[in-house]
Amino acid sequence: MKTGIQVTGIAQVNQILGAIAPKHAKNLMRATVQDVAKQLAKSASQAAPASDSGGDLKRGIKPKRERGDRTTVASTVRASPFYWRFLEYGQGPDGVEHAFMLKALQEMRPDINRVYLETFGKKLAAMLARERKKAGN
Amino acid sequence: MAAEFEVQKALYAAINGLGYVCYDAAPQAADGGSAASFPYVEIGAIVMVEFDTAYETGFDFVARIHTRSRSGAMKETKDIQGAIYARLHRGTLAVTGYNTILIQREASDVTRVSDGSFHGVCEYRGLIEYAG
Repeated sequence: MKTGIQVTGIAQVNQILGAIAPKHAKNLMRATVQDVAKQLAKSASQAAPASDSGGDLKRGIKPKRERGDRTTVASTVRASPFYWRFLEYGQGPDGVEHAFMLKALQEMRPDINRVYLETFGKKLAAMLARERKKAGN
Repeated sequence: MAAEFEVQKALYAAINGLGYVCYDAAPQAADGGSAASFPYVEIGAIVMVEFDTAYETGFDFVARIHTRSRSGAMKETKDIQGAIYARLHRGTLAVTGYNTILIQREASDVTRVSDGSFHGVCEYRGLIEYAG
């Protein structure tokens, strides 16, 4: 089962950046989307249950950069232990629906524009600093 | 009454109206097994976040609807999911004290459980605003 958040308005930003520096634009968008996925993964990881001895699930929730296409960049949040879905949907040994992925997603949803813009600003500043350094300024 | 409860009540009424057995939490037998009458629908996690504007208050929620069946195939589960979809998707939900702006299905899945039964999960996203 796949669900997600779609952010609108990025198309215009991408269009402007794409016109002046296409390669940088795509890298910037990719880094931004990946960072948003990283924040979502961190939030899901905090909400995930852990046994006293383990923590495999908490450690196993990670963002993954996806291939996307010519006009789209994509990242997903994945949990590597196979039993994540049993705990997420209440099929685990405790029978409790932990809904840690859903909670993380819902928590981010109202703030997605702020999260996205902050992350974008951070990544843009970092990219400009790198370019300045490369140019020797 | 809390919006969480009102949403659950509205979902319960909508699903019950379709003629399916609907539980808040499925009953358990003394031996730890299920005492529920299959097939049944269970209202699972409802995660709500604020959906406030300058003048209105409201909630953005996702509700999980679980469908459980002991039929020999997935069809029964899918039929129930389909009936719930027809009732709820872009339909109306009577949430006491709130106006429903939107309710729509966002995801749907069916898996086989280790005891041989089928477990369907649908996620419905809704937006409600305070009617007061």
